[in-house]
Amino acid sequence: MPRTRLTVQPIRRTYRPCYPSYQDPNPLLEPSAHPYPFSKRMLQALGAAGFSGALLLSSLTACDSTKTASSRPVADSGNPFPLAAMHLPYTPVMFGTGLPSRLDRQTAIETINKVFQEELPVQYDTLVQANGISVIANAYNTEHRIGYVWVNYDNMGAGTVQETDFNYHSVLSYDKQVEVIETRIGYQWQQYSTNTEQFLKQLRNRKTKPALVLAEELSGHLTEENRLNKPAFQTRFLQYERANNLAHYQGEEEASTLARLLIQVLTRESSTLKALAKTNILHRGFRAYSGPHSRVGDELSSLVDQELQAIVNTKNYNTWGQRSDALLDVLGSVQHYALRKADNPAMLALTDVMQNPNWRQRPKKLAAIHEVVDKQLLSLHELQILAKSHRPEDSYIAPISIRDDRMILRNMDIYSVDAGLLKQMQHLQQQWRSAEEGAAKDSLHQQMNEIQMQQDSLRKQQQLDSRQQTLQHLETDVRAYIRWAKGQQGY
Amino acid sequence: MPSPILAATFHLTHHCNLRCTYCYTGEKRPIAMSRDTVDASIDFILREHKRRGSERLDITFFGGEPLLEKDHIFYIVNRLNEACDGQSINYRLSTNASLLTQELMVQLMTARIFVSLSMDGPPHVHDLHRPQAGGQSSSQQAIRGARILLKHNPCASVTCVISPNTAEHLVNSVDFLYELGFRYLLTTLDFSADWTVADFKKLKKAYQGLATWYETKMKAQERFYLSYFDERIRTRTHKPIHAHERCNIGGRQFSIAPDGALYPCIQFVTTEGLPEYMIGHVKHGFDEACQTHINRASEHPKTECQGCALESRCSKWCSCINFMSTGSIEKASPVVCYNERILMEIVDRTADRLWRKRNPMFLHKHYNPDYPIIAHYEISL
Repeated sequence: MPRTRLTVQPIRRTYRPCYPSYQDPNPLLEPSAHPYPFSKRMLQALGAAGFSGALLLSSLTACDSTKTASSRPVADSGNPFPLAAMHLPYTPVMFGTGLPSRLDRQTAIETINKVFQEELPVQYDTLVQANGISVIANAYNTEHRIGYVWVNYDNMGAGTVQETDFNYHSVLSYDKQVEVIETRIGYQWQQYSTNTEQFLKQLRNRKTKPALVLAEELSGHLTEENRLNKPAFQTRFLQYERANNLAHYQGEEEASTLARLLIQVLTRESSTLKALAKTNILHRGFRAYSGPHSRVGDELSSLVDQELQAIVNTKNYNTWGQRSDALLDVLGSVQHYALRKADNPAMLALTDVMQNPNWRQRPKKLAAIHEVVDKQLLSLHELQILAKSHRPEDSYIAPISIRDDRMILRNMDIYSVDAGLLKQMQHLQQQWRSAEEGAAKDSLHQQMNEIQMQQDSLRKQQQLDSRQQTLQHLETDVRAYIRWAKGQQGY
Repeated sequence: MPSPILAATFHLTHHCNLRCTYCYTGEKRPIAMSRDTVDASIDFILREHKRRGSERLDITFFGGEPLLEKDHIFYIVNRLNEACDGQSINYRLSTNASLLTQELMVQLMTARIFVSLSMDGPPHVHDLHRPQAGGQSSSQQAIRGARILLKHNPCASVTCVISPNTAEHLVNSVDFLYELGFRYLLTTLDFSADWTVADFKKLKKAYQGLATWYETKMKAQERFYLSYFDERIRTRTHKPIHAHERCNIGGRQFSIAPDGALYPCIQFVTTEGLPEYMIGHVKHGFDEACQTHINRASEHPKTECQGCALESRCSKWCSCINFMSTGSIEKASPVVCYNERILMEIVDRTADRLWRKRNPMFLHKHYNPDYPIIAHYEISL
């Protein structure tokens, strides 16, 4: 019988590793981020094998679970929903074509809620004080302090968006609008200083009178000695934009209160930069609150219309300036497009402010609107706080975002084709083209239709499979988050 | 319990040309399996294979030294291949390599028998515990045999046994075997030895050195498998395996002694015989009552381990090791316990360092399900 002086001693605590366990997202689910480091000999051997080697290479390097799967970010110390996964701040784009399809909000929320229901009893859409901030959690368990918040374009707040001129739904605050204009002018300077000839050519192509005037003027400043410096260029370009805007609205003033007001702004404001910023805000504000596409409800629309009219009719220059500035503050208090809906609490609060007949009091009452807006929006700072929970006493509210690559639906390309079917189709097309009119040609056409139907059917199935896989991965990651959060809290 | 794999080990002989100090098979006597017993064993295996509906047969040749009975090896392979035409059979052989020749190696490769070697390290370490029958050194023969093996199969594995007095040479031993050309390195302790706390202190230091070695090789993107590290990392990166899948002692796996007696696993086949662990005979079949009893004993919860933070990752489930260490399959081995306690933390810290750097080999080795195939190709090039 073997002897030993040792005894079995269970240990209560051990080193807690950080590398992903089987319960965490597989770090290789984004294979392009971590390509397999093939040895030189392997690459040489596969190269010598030619095409078949390349096929073998691609089949060997594809992890099965990544085929048609959405990208899953590398877990940050075990948290499946790190801040980096949200890719913020983001830049809004004008057009939607070419962008990947994503899971719709309803499906994503239903899926996440389902997982929470299975794992924890939760309350829905509840205001939570968590880690020093307020957040309306989509689902939250008060005992474990675990929940999630769905982060969509309509609740992304300060710091989450890179504002540009192209985001024409935004009604910016005055300072933000000035920043946007300055960035635009800075870009123009860059173009002018690096390739003046090209810049002038593009300016002339605009074919408006102010553009041609500016181009003519700048053509006289092409030598090193008389070339415009940056401040001079920027001042001149701002003047050009002012003149351009004025030319645009003149001719409309008879038909439109807004045009009359904007002409007043462009002609009365002494600072060109302020004139342009104010024009932008009032124009967008009108579109958001009063125009035919406004969604804020009749009452608020009517109040804004009345205010515009009142400003236009104000004769006193100082009063006019103060009253139009006051309207700027009010219109810029709810910048977020998604909040500008008739039933939104922010619009109700704004209506209250606009109902005050004393226009001078209105800017002083904006704090109530800001509070309502803040509650509905999550700033980048707040999202950072939520994503950084790690201590046992923290609340764990996962910020799950529409911008997460996991929400991308792969294989949604309407042009994707099966290679085999494509070949058959091409072959049939060739035959069809050279066939004589008659039954044979009709038959070929019928066959082509059938192949097209097969393609469509295949594509639909691919899309369904991809969607299913995306949902499954989302479920797995939400479960992993709940487990991780419990682990962090010591459960 | 039904299982897709049936694993049988032929102990072809009790005889061996070496006298390894830690060998558990007992006194070396020239007692070989007779042709009659071989036939009965093959028939028994085929009956069991059919009865269980298993999808694959895993056949291992063991001893003593199985190459002393090489005729039996090829006879068994031919008979089984003929009887199981088209079905999947894996053949393995565990040898000390001292009797391996080029010609024999070619025959073994042709028969598709996967050969693994036992070697403890460089000569001054290997010869401490693996002398020849007359006491002479066996290291040169082992090295020669290793070279022949690797020439024909670069993916061959080697088992290195660590004893209390060789622990401090562990890194040198592993490195020696690696430089010899082995890429699949299995390390194991001599669980029957009289380990002390002081021995484990030395072993801990050796493991720390081995961690540095492992990290260096991973950073250099070397392809290799080091069981002590990779298996422990696997206990975290892969779902826990149920006990009956890990060790189905006496159930889906069994050993056939030279006299035809059936035992639950290799550690129970000794020259002296252990009747209390015998679970049947090839001529009469399994004694189901004994099988069930031993199976239950091996599955018996190790109450002494309750509440341990390493319980789900520890290798206390191996009944053979428990038996070797404590004399009982129901008791957890204190040697295993100490070993896991010191090794697991070292392995996890090493893995964390590699993870933090997103080391590509670490990521693919442990998270890419295709890695074993890719690495196999690359090593064999």
